[in-house]
Amino acid sequence: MQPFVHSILLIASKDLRSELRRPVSFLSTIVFCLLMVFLFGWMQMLAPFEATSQFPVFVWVILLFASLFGTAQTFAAEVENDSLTALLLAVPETSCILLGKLLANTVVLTAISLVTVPLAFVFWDAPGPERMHVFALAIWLGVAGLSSLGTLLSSVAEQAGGLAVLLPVFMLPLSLPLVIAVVELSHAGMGATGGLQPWLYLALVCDLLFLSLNLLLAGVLLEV
Amino acid sequence: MPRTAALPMGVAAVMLTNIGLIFFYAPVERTMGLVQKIFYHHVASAWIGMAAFVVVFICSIAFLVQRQPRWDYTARASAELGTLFTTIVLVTGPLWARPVWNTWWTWDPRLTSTLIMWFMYAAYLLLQSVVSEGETRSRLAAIYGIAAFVNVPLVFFSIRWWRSLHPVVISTAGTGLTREMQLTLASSVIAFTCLYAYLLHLRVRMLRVEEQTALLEAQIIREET
Repeated sequence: MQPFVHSILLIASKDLRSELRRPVSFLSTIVFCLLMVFLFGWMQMLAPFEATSQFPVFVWVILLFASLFGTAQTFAAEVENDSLTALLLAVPETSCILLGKLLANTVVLTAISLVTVPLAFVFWDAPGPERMHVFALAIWLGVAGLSSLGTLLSSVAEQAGGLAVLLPVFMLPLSLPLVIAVVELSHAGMGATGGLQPWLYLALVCDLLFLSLNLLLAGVLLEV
Repeated sequence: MPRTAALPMGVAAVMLTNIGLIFFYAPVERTMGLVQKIFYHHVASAWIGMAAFVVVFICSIAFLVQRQPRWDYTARASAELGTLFTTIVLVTGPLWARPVWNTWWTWDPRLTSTLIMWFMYAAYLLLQSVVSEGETRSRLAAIYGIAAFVNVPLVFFSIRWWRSLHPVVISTAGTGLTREMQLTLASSVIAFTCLYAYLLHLRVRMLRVEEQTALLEAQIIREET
Protein backbone atom coordinates (compact mmCIF):
# COMPACT_ATOMS: atom_id res chain seq x y z
CA MET A 1 0.00 0.00 0.00
CA GLN A 2 2.77 2.41 0.95
CA PRO A 3 4.72 2.22 -2.36
CA PHE A 4 1.40 2.66 -4.20
CA VAL A 5 0.52 5.88 -2.35
CA HIS A 6 4.15 7.05 -2.46
CA SER A 7 4.24 6.64 -6.25
CA ILE A 8 0.98 8.58 -6.63
CA LEU A 9 2.36 11.44 -4.55
CA LEU A 10 5.67 11.40 -6.44
CA ILE A 11 3.94 11.65 -9.81
CA ALA A 12 1.62 14.38 -8.56
CA SER A 13 4.55 16.39 -7.18
CA LYS A 14 6.51 15.85 -10.44
CA ASP A 15 3.61 17.27 -12.45
CA LEU A 16 3.04 20.15 -10.04
CA ARG A 17 6.74 21.07 -9.99
CA SER A 18 6.84 20.95 -13.77
CA GLU A 19 3.75 23.19 -13.85
CA LEU A 20 5.35 25.64 -11.39
CA ARG A 21 8.57 25.74 -13.40
CA ARG A 22 6.74 26.58 -16.61
CA PRO A 23 3.17 27.58 -15.70
CA VAL A 24 1.96 28.17 -19.27
CA SER A 25 -1.14 25.98 -19.01
CA PHE A 26 -2.03 27.23 -15.51
CA LEU A 27 -1.63 30.92 -16.36
CA SER A 28 -3.46 30.58 -19.68
CA THR A 29 -6.40 28.89 -17.93
CA ILE A 30 -6.46 31.56 -15.20
CA VAL A 31 -6.44 34.35 -17.81
CA PHE A 32 -9.21 32.55 -19.74
CA CYS A 33 -11.32 32.28 -16.58
CA LEU A 34 -10.82 35.96 -15.77
CA LEU A 35 -11.80 36.91 -19.32
CA MET A 36 -14.97 34.84 -18.95
CA VAL A 37 -15.73 36.51 -15.59
CA PHE A 38 -15.36 39.95 -17.19
CA LEU A 39 -17.38 38.88 -20.23
CA PHE A 40 -20.27 37.62 -18.12
CA GLY A 41 -19.95 40.80 -16.01
CA TRP A 42 -20.45 42.96 -19.11
CA MET A 43 -23.33 40.76 -20.19
CA GLN A 44 -24.88 41.36 -16.79
CA MET A 45 -24.83 45.09 -17.45
CA LEU A 46 -26.94 44.51 -20.57
CA ALA A 47 -29.23 41.87 -19.06
CA PRO A 48 -28.91 41.56 -15.24
CA PHE A 49 -29.19 38.00 -13.96
CA GLU A 50 -30.66 36.77 -10.72
CA ALA A 51 -27.78 35.99 -8.37
CA THR A 52 -29.09 32.94 -6.49
CA SER A 53 -30.41 31.01 -9.47
CA GLN A 54 -28.07 32.05 -12.26
CA PHE A 55 -24.76 32.74 -10.55
CA PRO A 56 -23.86 29.03 -10.11
CA VAL A 57 -24.74 28.29 -13.74
CA PHE A 58 -22.30 30.90 -15.08
CA VAL A 59 -19.61 29.88 -12.57
CA TRP A 60 -19.90 26.24 -13.65
CA VAL A 61 -19.78 27.12 -17.34
CA ILE A 62 -16.44 28.80 -16.65
CA LEU A 63 -15.11 25.97 -14.46
CA LEU A 64 -16.19 23.34 -16.99
CA PHE A 65 -14.19 25.06 -19.72
CA ALA A 66 -11.32 25.57 -17.30
CA SER A 67 -11.28 21.83 -16.62
CA LEU A 68 -11.12 21.15 -20.36
CA PHE A 69 -8.11 23.45 -20.78
CA GLY A 70 -6.56 22.41 -17.47
CA THR A 71 -6.62 18.68 -18.13
CA ALA A 72 -5.93 18.76 -21.89
CA GLN A 73 -2.15 18.82 -21.37
CA THR A 74 -2.07 16.01 -18.77
CA PHE A 75 0.00 13.65 -20.91
CA ALA A 76 1.61 16.24 -23.22
CA ALA A 77 4.99 16.14 -21.41
CA GLU A 78 5.18 12.33 -21.53
CA VAL A 79 4.32 12.30 -25.24
CA GLU A 80 6.74 15.15 -26.02
CA ASN A 81 9.66 13.54 -24.14
CA ASP A 82 8.64 9.97 -24.98
CA SER A 83 8.87 9.15 -21.29
CA LEU A 84 5.72 7.14 -20.68
CA THR A 85 7.56 3.79 -20.87
CA ALA A 86 10.04 4.95 -18.23
CA LEU A 87 7.18 6.13 -16.05
CA LEU A 88 5.40 2.77 -16.44
CA LEU A 89 8.56 0.94 -15.37
CA ALA A 90 8.98 3.18 -12.34
CA VAL A 91 5.59 2.61 -10.70
CA PRO A 92 4.28 -0.50 -8.90
CA GLU A 93 0.92 -0.27 -10.70
CA THR A 94 -0.17 1.53 -13.85
CA SER A 95 -3.05 3.20 -12.04
CA CYS A 96 -0.50 5.16 -9.94
CA ILE A 97 0.25 7.27 -13.03
CA LEU A 98 -3.38 8.16 -13.65
CA LEU A 99 -4.08 8.78 -9.97
CA GLY A 100 -0.97 10.92 -9.56
CA LYS A 101 -1.91 13.01 -12.56
CA LEU A 102 -5.49 13.19 -11.33
CA LEU A 103 -4.24 14.54 -7.99
CA ALA A 104 -2.06 17.15 -9.71
CA ASN A 105 -4.97 18.20 -11.94
CA THR A 106 -7.26 18.50 -8.91
CA VAL A 107 -4.75 20.74 -7.13
CA VAL A 108 -4.33 22.95 -10.21
CA LEU A 109 -8.09 23.22 -10.83
CA THR A 110 -8.76 23.92 -7.15
CA ALA A 111 -6.23 26.78 -7.33
CA ILE A 112 -7.93 28.08 -10.48
CA SER A 113 -11.38 27.94 -8.85
CA LEU A 114 -10.01 29.67 -5.71
CA VAL A 115 -9.03 32.63 -7.91
CA THR A 116 -12.02 32.59 -10.25
CA VAL A 117 -15.01 32.08 -7.94
CA PRO A 118 -14.26 34.91 -5.44
CA LEU A 119 -13.59 37.28 -8.37
CA ALA A 120 -16.91 36.26 -9.92
CA PHE A 121 -18.67 37.24 -6.67
CA VAL A 122 -16.92 40.62 -6.75
CA PHE A 123 -17.36 41.47 -10.42
CA TRP A 124 -20.94 40.19 -10.71
CA ASP A 125 -21.91 41.92 -7.48
CA ALA A 126 -23.45 38.70 -6.14
CA PRO A 127 -24.37 38.22 -2.48
CA GLY A 128 -22.21 35.73 -0.58
CA PRO A 129 -23.44 32.12 -0.24
CA GLU A 130 -25.88 31.61 2.63
CA ARG A 131 -24.42 28.15 3.30
CA MET A 132 -20.73 28.59 2.62
CA HIS A 133 -19.80 24.98 3.48
CA VAL A 134 -22.32 23.59 0.94
CA PHE A 135 -21.12 25.99 -1.76
CA ALA A 136 -17.45 25.14 -1.08
CA LEU A 137 -18.24 21.41 -1.08
CA ALA A 138 -20.07 21.78 -4.41
CA ILE A 139 -17.06 23.54 -5.96
CA TRP A 140 -14.62 20.94 -4.68
CA LEU A 141 -16.74 17.91 -5.66
CA GLY A 142 -17.19 19.37 -9.13
CA VAL A 143 -13.51 20.19 -9.54
CA ALA A 144 -12.46 16.71 -8.30
CA GLY A 145 -14.92 14.94 -10.63
CA LEU A 146 -14.01 17.02 -13.66
CA SER A 147 -10.28 16.49 -12.98
CA SER A 148 -10.91 12.77 -12.73
CA LEU A 149 -12.88 12.53 -15.94
CA GLY A 150 -10.53 14.95 -17.71
CA THR A 151 -7.44 12.93 -16.74
CA LEU A 152 -8.94 9.72 -18.13
CA LEU A 153 -10.24 11.25 -21.35
CA SER A 154 -7.21 13.46 -22.00
CA SER A 155 -5.17 10.28 -22.23
CA VAL A 156 -7.68 8.87 -24.73
CA ALA A 157 -7.61 12.14 -26.71
CA GLU A 158 -3.81 12.30 -26.62
CA GLN A 159 -3.45 8.74 -27.95
CA ALA A 160 -6.15 9.44 -30.54
CA GLY A 161 -3.96 12.06 -32.18
CA GLY A 162 -4.08 14.95 -29.75
CA LEU A 163 -6.52 17.10 -31.71
CA ALA A 164 -7.63 19.95 -29.43
CA VAL A 165 -11.30 19.47 -30.26
CA LEU A 166 -11.38 15.81 -29.21
CA LEU A 167 -11.31 16.28 -25.44
CA PRO A 168 -14.42 18.53 -25.31
CA VAL A 169 -16.29 16.16 -27.64
CA PHE A 170 -15.43 13.19 -25.41
CA MET A 171 -15.82 14.94 -22.09
CA LEU A 172 -18.85 17.22 -22.29
CA PRO A 173 -21.54 14.53 -22.70
CA LEU A 174 -20.03 12.42 -19.92
CA SER A 175 -19.65 15.32 -17.50
CA LEU A 176 -23.31 16.32 -17.72
CA PRO A 177 -24.66 14.43 -14.65
CA LEU A 178 -21.88 15.80 -12.46
CA VAL A 179 -22.38 19.35 -13.76
CA ILE A 180 -26.14 19.18 -13.10
CA ALA A 181 -25.48 17.86 -9.58
CA VAL A 182 -22.91 20.50 -8.63
CA VAL A 183 -24.94 23.35 -10.15
CA GLU A 184 -27.94 22.30 -8.04
CA LEU A 185 -25.69 21.86 -5.00
CA SER A 186 -24.25 25.35 -5.57
CA HIS A 187 -27.83 26.68 -5.83
CA ALA A 188 -28.50 25.15 -2.41
CA GLY A 189 -25.31 26.77 -1.10
CA MET A 190 -26.42 30.15 -2.43
CA GLY A 191 -29.61 29.83 -0.42
CA ALA A 192 -32.10 28.36 -2.87
CA THR A 193 -34.77 26.17 -1.34
CA GLY A 194 -35.08 22.58 -2.48
CA GLY A 195 -33.57 19.17 -1.93
CA LEU A 196 -29.88 19.06 -1.15
CA GLN A 197 -29.30 15.34 -0.55
CA PRO A 198 -30.04 13.87 -4.02
CA TRP A 199 -27.56 16.27 -5.61
CA LEU A 200 -24.92 15.59 -2.98
CA TYR A 201 -25.30 11.85 -3.51
CA LEU A 202 -25.29 12.21 -7.28
CA ALA A 203 -22.11 14.32 -7.19
CA LEU A 204 -20.46 11.76 -4.89
CA VAL A 205 -21.55 8.85 -7.13
CA CYS A 206 -20.18 10.64 -10.22
CA ASP A 207 -16.86 11.36 -8.47
CA LEU A 208 -16.55 7.75 -7.30
CA LEU A 209 -17.50 6.41 -10.72
CA PHE A 210 -14.93 8.55 -12.53
CA LEU A 211 -12.28 7.60 -9.97
CA SER A 212 -13.15 3.89 -10.36
CA LEU A 213 -12.89 4.19 -14.15
CA ASN A 214 -9.38 5.63 -13.73
CA LEU A 215 -8.44 2.75 -11.46
CA LEU A 216 -10.02 -0.02 -13.54
CA LEU A 217 -9.07 1.17 -17.01
CA ALA A 218 -5.52 2.42 -16.27
CA GLY A 219 -3.94 -0.90 -17.27
CA VAL A 220 -5.49 -0.95 -20.75
CA LEU A 221 -5.33 2.82 -21.23
CA LEU A 222 -1.60 3.23 -20.70
CA GLU A 223 -0.28 0.42 -22.86
CA VAL A 224 3.00 0.98 -24.64
CA MET B 1 -34.50 -19.77 -52.53
CA PRO B 2 -30.74 -19.33 -51.95
CA ARG B 3 -29.71 -19.22 -48.28
CA THR B 4 -28.23 -15.70 -48.63
CA ALA B 5 -31.56 -14.32 -49.84
CA ALA B 6 -33.66 -15.94 -47.10
CA LEU B 7 -32.46 -13.61 -44.34
CA PRO B 8 -33.13 -10.25 -46.06
CA MET B 9 -36.44 -11.59 -47.39
CA GLY B 10 -37.46 -12.64 -43.89
CA VAL B 11 -36.52 -9.24 -42.41
CA ALA B 12 -38.38 -7.46 -45.24
CA ALA B 13 -41.47 -9.61 -44.58
CA VAL B 14 -41.41 -8.77 -40.85
CA MET B 15 -40.99 -5.06 -41.60
CA LEU B 16 -43.83 -5.05 -44.18
CA THR B 17 -46.12 -6.92 -41.76
CA ASN B 18 -45.32 -4.32 -39.12
CA ILE B 19 -46.15 -1.44 -41.51
CA GLY B 20 -49.39 -3.22 -42.40
CA LEU B 21 -50.30 -3.55 -38.72
CA ILE B 22 -49.53 0.13 -38.09
CA PHE B 23 -51.75 1.40 -40.92
CA PHE B 24 -54.50 -1.22 -41.14
CA TYR B 25 -54.79 -2.89 -37.73
CA ALA B 26 -53.91 -0.34 -35.03
CA PRO B 27 -56.75 2.16 -34.52
CA VAL B 28 -56.28 5.86 -35.16
CA GLU B 29 -55.73 7.61 -31.83
CA ARG B 30 -58.75 9.78 -30.93
CA THR B 31 -57.06 13.06 -29.94
CA MET B 32 -53.73 12.93 -31.79
CA GLY B 33 -55.00 11.43 -35.04
CA LEU B 34 -52.77 9.92 -37.72
CA VAL B 35 -49.57 11.53 -36.43
CA GLN B 36 -49.65 9.12 -33.48
CA LYS B 37 -48.62 6.34 -35.92
CA ILE B 38 -45.05 7.73 -35.65
CA PHE B 39 -45.09 6.40 -32.08
CA TYR B 40 -44.63 2.77 -33.20
CA HIS B 41 -41.36 3.38 -35.04
CA HIS B 42 -40.25 6.06 -32.58
CA VAL B 43 -40.41 3.73 -29.57
CA ALA B 44 -38.93 0.77 -31.48
CA SER B 45 -36.00 2.94 -32.63
CA ALA B 46 -35.44 4.17 -29.07
CA TRP B 47 -35.34 0.57 -27.86
CA ILE B 48 -32.75 -0.34 -30.51
CA GLY B 49 -30.72 2.79 -29.71
CA MET B 50 -30.46 1.67 -26.09
CA ALA B 51 -29.93 -2.03 -26.88
CA ALA B 52 -27.14 -1.14 -29.33
CA PHE B 53 -25.38 0.75 -26.52
CA VAL B 54 -25.57 -2.37 -24.32
CA VAL B 55 -24.00 -4.38 -27.17
CA VAL B 56 -21.21 -1.77 -27.50
CA PHE B 57 -20.56 -2.04 -23.75
CA ILE B 58 -20.47 -5.86 -23.66
CA CYS B 59 -18.31 -6.11 -26.79
CA SER B 60 -15.94 -3.42 -25.46
CA ILE B 61 -15.35 -5.42 -22.28
CA ALA B 62 -14.97 -8.62 -24.32
CA PHE B 63 -12.42 -6.92 -26.57
CA LEU B 64 -10.32 -5.64 -23.67
CA VAL B 65 -10.32 -9.11 -22.10
CA GLN B 66 -9.79 -11.29 -25.19
CA ARG B 67 -8.27 -8.83 -27.71
CA GLN B 68 -10.08 -10.49 -30.60
CA PRO B 69 -10.98 -8.17 -33.51
CA ARG B 70 -14.49 -9.62 -33.86
CA TRP B 71 -15.55 -7.89 -30.63
CA ASP B 72 -14.29 -4.57 -31.95
CA TYR B 73 -16.11 -5.07 -35.26
CA THR B 74 -19.35 -5.86 -33.42
CA ALA B 75 -18.98 -2.88 -31.05
CA ARG B 76 -18.24 -0.55 -33.95
CA ALA B 77 -21.10 -1.85 -36.09
CA SER B 78 -23.48 -1.64 -33.14
CA ALA B 79 -22.42 1.95 -32.41
CA GLU B 80 -23.04 2.92 -36.04
CA LEU B 81 -26.50 1.34 -35.98
CA GLY B 82 -27.20 2.82 -32.55
CA THR B 83 -26.39 6.27 -33.92
CA LEU B 84 -28.68 5.65 -36.89
CA PHE B 85 -31.62 4.52 -34.76
CA THR B 86 -31.07 7.25 -32.15
CA THR B 87 -31.08 9.78 -35.02
CA ILE B 88 -34.44 8.32 -36.12
CA VAL B 89 -35.71 8.83 -32.54
CA LEU B 90 -34.50 12.44 -32.54
CA VAL B 91 -36.12 13.14 -35.92
CA THR B 92 -39.43 11.36 -35.34
CA GLY B 93 -39.75 12.79 -31.81
CA PRO B 94 -40.05 16.45 -32.86
CA LEU B 95 -42.26 15.45 -35.84
CA TRP B 96 -44.66 13.85 -33.35
CA ALA B 97 -44.20 16.51 -30.67
CA ARG B 98 -44.99 19.53 -32.84
CA PRO B 99 -48.69 18.79 -33.50
CA VAL B 100 -49.23 17.15 -30.07
CA TRP B 101 -47.26 19.36 -27.65
CA ASN B 102 -47.15 22.42 -29.92
CA THR B 103 -43.35 22.51 -29.73
CA TRP B 104 -40.54 20.88 -31.71
CA TRP B 105 -38.42 20.26 -28.65
CA THR B 106 -38.78 20.21 -24.88
CA TRP B 107 -36.13 19.46 -22.24
CA ASP B 108 -37.98 16.39 -21.10
CA PRO B 109 -35.76 13.78 -19.35
CA ARG B 110 -36.19 11.18 -22.08
CA LEU B 111 -35.52 13.60 -24.95
CA THR B 112 -32.50 15.10 -23.23
CA SER B 113 -31.08 11.69 -22.29
CA THR B 114 -31.52 10.51 -25.87
CA LEU B 115 -29.75 13.59 -27.19
CA ILE B 116 -26.85 13.10 -24.77
CA MET B 117 -26.68 9.43 -25.78
CA TRP B 118 -26.49 10.51 -29.42
CA PHE B 119 -23.54 12.80 -28.56
CA MET B 120 -21.80 9.87 -26.83
CA TYR B 121 -22.30 7.69 -29.90
CA ALA B 122 -21.00 10.53 -32.09
CA ALA B 123 -17.89 10.84 -29.90
CA TYR B 124 -17.38 7.06 -30.06
CA LEU B 125 -17.59 7.03 -33.87
CA LEU B 126 -15.35 10.10 -34.08
CA LEU B 127 -12.77 8.26 -31.99
CA GLN B 128 -13.02 5.24 -34.30
CA SER B 129 -12.48 7.46 -37.34
CA VAL B 130 -9.57 9.65 -36.13
CA VAL B 131 -7.25 6.84 -35.07
CA SER B 132 -5.73 4.99 -38.00
CA GLU B 133 -3.77 2.27 -36.19
CA GLY B 134 -6.03 -0.78 -35.70
CA GLU B 135 -5.11 -2.06 -32.23
CA THR B 136 -4.92 1.41 -30.62
CA ARG B 137 -8.18 2.43 -32.25
CA SER B 138 -10.01 -0.64 -30.96
CA ARG B 139 -8.55 -0.28 -27.46
CA LEU B 140 -9.36 3.44 -27.11
CA ALA B 141 -12.84 2.94 -28.54
CA ALA B 142 -13.48 0.09 -26.09
CA ILE B 143 -12.39 2.29 -23.16
CA TYR B 144 -14.67 5.12 -24.29
CA GLY B 145 -17.52 2.68 -24.94
CA ILE B 146 -17.33 1.43 -21.34
CA ALA B 147 -16.98 4.92 -19.81
CA ALA B 148 -19.91 6.23 -21.87
CA PHE B 149 -22.22 3.32 -21.08
CA VAL B 150 -21.74 3.39 -17.30
CA ASN B 151 -22.57 7.09 -17.48
CA VAL B 152 -25.93 6.57 -19.24
CA PRO B 153 -27.99 5.74 -16.09
CA LEU B 154 -26.49 8.77 -14.34
CA VAL B 155 -27.42 10.99 -17.28
CA PHE B 156 -30.99 9.72 -17.24
CA PHE B 157 -31.51 9.99 -13.48
CA SER B 158 -29.79 13.35 -13.13
CA ILE B 159 -32.01 14.86 -15.81
CA ARG B 160 -35.13 13.21 -14.39
CA TRP B 161 -34.46 14.52 -10.86
CA TRP B 162 -33.52 17.90 -12.25
CA ARG B 163 -36.71 18.23 -14.23
CA SER B 164 -38.93 16.73 -11.57
CA LEU B 165 -37.70 19.30 -9.06
CA HIS B 166 -38.66 22.09 -11.47
CA PRO B 167 -42.13 22.84 -12.84
CA VAL B 168 -42.85 20.62 -15.85
CA VAL B 169 -45.10 22.43 -18.31
CA ILE B 170 -45.59 19.57 -20.74
CA SER B 171 -46.18 16.10 -19.38
CA THR B 172 -45.62 12.90 -21.36
CA ALA B 173 -47.61 10.76 -18.97
CA GLY B 174 -50.97 9.23 -19.70
CA THR B 175 -50.64 7.39 -23.01
CA GLY B 176 -53.21 4.65 -22.58
CA LEU B 177 -52.78 1.99 -25.25
CA THR B 178 -55.50 -0.31 -26.52
CA ARG B 179 -54.80 -4.03 -27.06
CA GLU B 180 -54.38 -3.50 -30.83
CA MET B 181 -51.93 -0.69 -30.18
CA GLN B 182 -49.94 -2.81 -27.75
CA LEU B 183 -49.72 -5.65 -30.27
CA THR B 184 -48.63 -3.28 -33.02
CA LEU B 185 -45.99 -1.77 -30.74
CA ALA B 186 -44.71 -5.25 -29.86
CA SER B 187 -44.52 -6.11 -33.57
CA SER B 188 -42.57 -2.87 -34.21
CA VAL B 189 -40.07 -3.74 -31.53
CA ILE B 190 -39.66 -7.26 -32.95
CA ALA B 191 -39.36 -5.96 -36.53
CA PHE B 192 -36.77 -3.34 -35.58
CA THR B 193 -34.81 -5.87 -33.54
CA CYS B 194 -34.72 -8.20 -36.58
CA LEU B 195 -33.63 -5.30 -38.79
CA TYR B 196 -30.91 -4.32 -36.30
CA ALA B 197 -29.64 -7.90 -36.01
CA TYR B 198 -29.53 -8.30 -39.79
CA LEU B 199 -27.78 -4.95 -40.38
CA LEU B 200 -25.34 -5.74 -37.56
CA HIS B 201 -24.51 -9.07 -39.18
CA LEU B 202 -23.91 -7.38 -42.56
CA ARG B 203 -21.81 -4.56 -41.13
CA VAL B 204 -19.62 -6.89 -39.04
CA ARG B 205 -18.98 -9.00 -42.13
CA MET B 206 -18.13 -5.88 -44.11
CA LEU B 207 -15.67 -4.65 -41.46
CA ARG B 208 -14.01 -8.08 -41.38
CA VAL B 209 -13.64 -8.09 -45.18
CA GLU B 210 -12.26 -4.51 -45.08
CA GLU B 211 -9.64 -5.56 -42.55
CA GLN B 212 -8.68 -8.67 -44.51
CA THR B 213 -8.41 -6.62 -47.72
CA ALA B 214 -6.15 -4.10 -45.99
CA LEU B 215 -3.92 -6.91 -44.69
CA LEU B 216 -3.76 -8.51 -48.13
CA GLU B 217 -2.94 -5.16 -49.71
CA ALA B 218 -0.13 -4.61 -47.23
CA GLN B 219 1.20 -8.11 -47.90
CA ILE B 220 1.21 -7.57 -51.68
CA ILE B 221 3.05 -4.25 -51.30
CA ARG B 222 5.62 -5.93 -49.03
CA GLU B 223 6.20 -8.75 -51.50
CA GLU B 224 6.54 -6.33 -54.44
CA THR B 225 9.15 -4.21 -52.64
